[in-house]
Amino acid sequence: MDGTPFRQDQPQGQVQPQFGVTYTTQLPPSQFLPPPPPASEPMLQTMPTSELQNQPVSGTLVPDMTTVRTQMHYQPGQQQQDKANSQNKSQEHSQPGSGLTPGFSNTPGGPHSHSHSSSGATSSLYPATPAPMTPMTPATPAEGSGIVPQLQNIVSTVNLGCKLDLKKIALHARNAEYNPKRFAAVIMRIRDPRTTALIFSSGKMVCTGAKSEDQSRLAARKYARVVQKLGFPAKFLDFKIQNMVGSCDVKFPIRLEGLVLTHSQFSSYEPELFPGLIYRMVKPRIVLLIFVSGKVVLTGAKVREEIYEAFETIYPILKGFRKTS
Amino acid sequence: MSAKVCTQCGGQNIQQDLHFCLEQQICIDCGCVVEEGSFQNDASRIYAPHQSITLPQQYRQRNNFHGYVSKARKAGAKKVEEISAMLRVTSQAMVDEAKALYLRAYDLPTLNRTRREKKNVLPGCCVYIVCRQHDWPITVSVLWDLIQCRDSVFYSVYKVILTDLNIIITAPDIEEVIPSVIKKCDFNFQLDDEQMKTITRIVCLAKNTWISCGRRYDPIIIAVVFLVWKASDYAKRKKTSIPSFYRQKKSGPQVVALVRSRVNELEDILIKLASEIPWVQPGEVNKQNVVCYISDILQYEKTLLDGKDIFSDDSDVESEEEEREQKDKFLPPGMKNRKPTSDVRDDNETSSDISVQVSYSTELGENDIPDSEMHKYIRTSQEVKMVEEVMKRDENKIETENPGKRKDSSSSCNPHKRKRSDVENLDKTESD
Repeated sequence: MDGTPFRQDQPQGQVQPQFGVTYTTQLPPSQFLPPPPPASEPMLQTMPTSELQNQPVSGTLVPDMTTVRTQMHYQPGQQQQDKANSQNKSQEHSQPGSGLTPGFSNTPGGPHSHSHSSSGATSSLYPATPAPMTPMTPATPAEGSGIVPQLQNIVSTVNLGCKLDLKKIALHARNAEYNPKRFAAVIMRIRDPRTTALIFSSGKMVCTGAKSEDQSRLAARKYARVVQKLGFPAKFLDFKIQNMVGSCDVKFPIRLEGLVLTHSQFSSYEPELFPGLIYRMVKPRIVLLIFVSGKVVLTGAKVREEIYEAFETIYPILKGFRKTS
Repeated sequence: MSAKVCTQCGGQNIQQDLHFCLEQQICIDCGCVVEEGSFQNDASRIYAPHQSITLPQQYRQRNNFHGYVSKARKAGAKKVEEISAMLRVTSQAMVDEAKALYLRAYDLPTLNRTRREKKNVLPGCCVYIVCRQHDWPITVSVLWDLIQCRDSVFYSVYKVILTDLNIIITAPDIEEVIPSVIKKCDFNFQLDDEQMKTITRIVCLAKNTWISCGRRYDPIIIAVVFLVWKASDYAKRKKTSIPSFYRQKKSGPQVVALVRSRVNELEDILIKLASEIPWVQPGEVNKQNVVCYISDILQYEKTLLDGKDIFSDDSDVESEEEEREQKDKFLPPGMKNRKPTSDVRDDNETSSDISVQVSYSTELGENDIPDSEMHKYIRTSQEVKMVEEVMKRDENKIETENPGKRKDSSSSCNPHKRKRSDVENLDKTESD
């Protein structure tokens, strides 16, 4: 096509570099030359042409406004899902450019209720970010995958509202490290919840390591209270969860090569560089790391429903790549 | 720009002009220089921190020097040509494409202000991407050997280029790269066509039995070549070890360990398949002699993989469960030692389910952290004095050892780095 990696018509005696050799070393041409790359079409995608034409370049799908996720009213403890949800969901999946991953329709169940208005009595199998002081017991969905992703890490930020003297904090706090040559923040840790905080001199703080939203908030309040006890007029302003990471196991092996072929616009799979497939879902905007053993890591969520929604979206696709090709 | 008045003619028609690189405020009416060398920030020329440019660069941009290419970029473009020549990329179109990609990637903010190691990897990355876009059966390990870089650095640069420039690259199939990997390994023997076909078929078998999924290609291909080479003259080669077969000084012991692991996995698969051949006695096949059964295994590969009896009729109907069991009998190595879980709910009960009482007010109080816990995290006055004494002692020590050295005012406030275990140990000692 455009050139061959190895040419058999090289005249003998002309020195050619070989692999594993630096620029200055010259070796004679090898006798064994692999065949030229096929002059066939580039790797075909199994996506329908109409969808290919409608979609821009990878990972930049514009979400369809008709399927914007409306505000849903969650009530913990509800277990049954409206069947109309699943029917509406299957209709939405068949729309091109819906923002969800293409090539799949008739999703069996799933806790989505895109078409319902905010005033409708929508039900969900997964509890939303709960009201204060409520126990967290996510219900196993009656339909769908039957698997609930577990939250592994939550990153949150808060503004303490005052300037801080990091040297004083590091001097008076037992659980703090401060090495300004390496990093311009105090690293503080507490046992319960088992978390780590980065405290900056501007008064901003980052809290990592919590397993739930409430634990992250509680940990951040503890750090802020410790700083307040050290003599600073700390408050607790603008607490916000920046990132949530979840993981789960689908319990069957996954053909990553097949998945990257059919969903190439969303997936990146380089086994020589990283053993997992990186799937960038557009709606919800979540990045999934999918491994051949069936383990899935979901990250990039601001609320836990995004993680659940992303997993319910990807699960039927993964089931399709369970068998050998 | 604030309204200025010309000191000579009193006119207000003042405009900004460049005299080479020097900014001057010039009165249009009389030509008098009202002001020059102003340090005021102009909103039109405020650059983001990563876009700070030198005065010569500013001058070139304002005077539309579009064709100018800096020395660093020229050196990088030349390196692209050299790497393309080493890979025998004879198509000038591909080389130009790689150069254009390099110049685009060079301007990316994350790569423009980065360390030299990453910039040295950039030309190789661009050549690899262009080769893959044209479906060349080239592996990343070839580039690593060519440009002598670490895989982590290559991956970081490669990821940035793909995401920031919206490029889709598909990894090559393992069957496509078999010839280039064999050539790269530079074995001291020749493989004929029949052996190459056998190698290709066993690699496909490895793919179907989950050995190659998510793994590097080189160790698997080398392992298959080893088994096929051993099978071609079993009597002489049955005791050959893997390090003596594969000697690549640059690869190191890690690759040999990976090859050994793949050989073990392949032998397990081949033993499993060979045991199902009807004329093979139970216990006859082992790791030493399994290579002798390769031809039989490949001849009846499909049947052996399906798990059906060779002499059974096709009319035998299997239930869906049995069919799934047969297809799942080969699992990825990572799944084989997994402990079975009886109930899905058991996995769900984690620390995230523990109920937590937390306040939502902006004011902090004693309810946020009990005093019993607070004292664990705050030093007593005695401890503070001790820490201060240690710090002073360290500073005096540094001054006496290096009298000319600048006093480090930013020294760590911890005599030693604190770890989580230290925090936990503190609790234990206090409870005692």
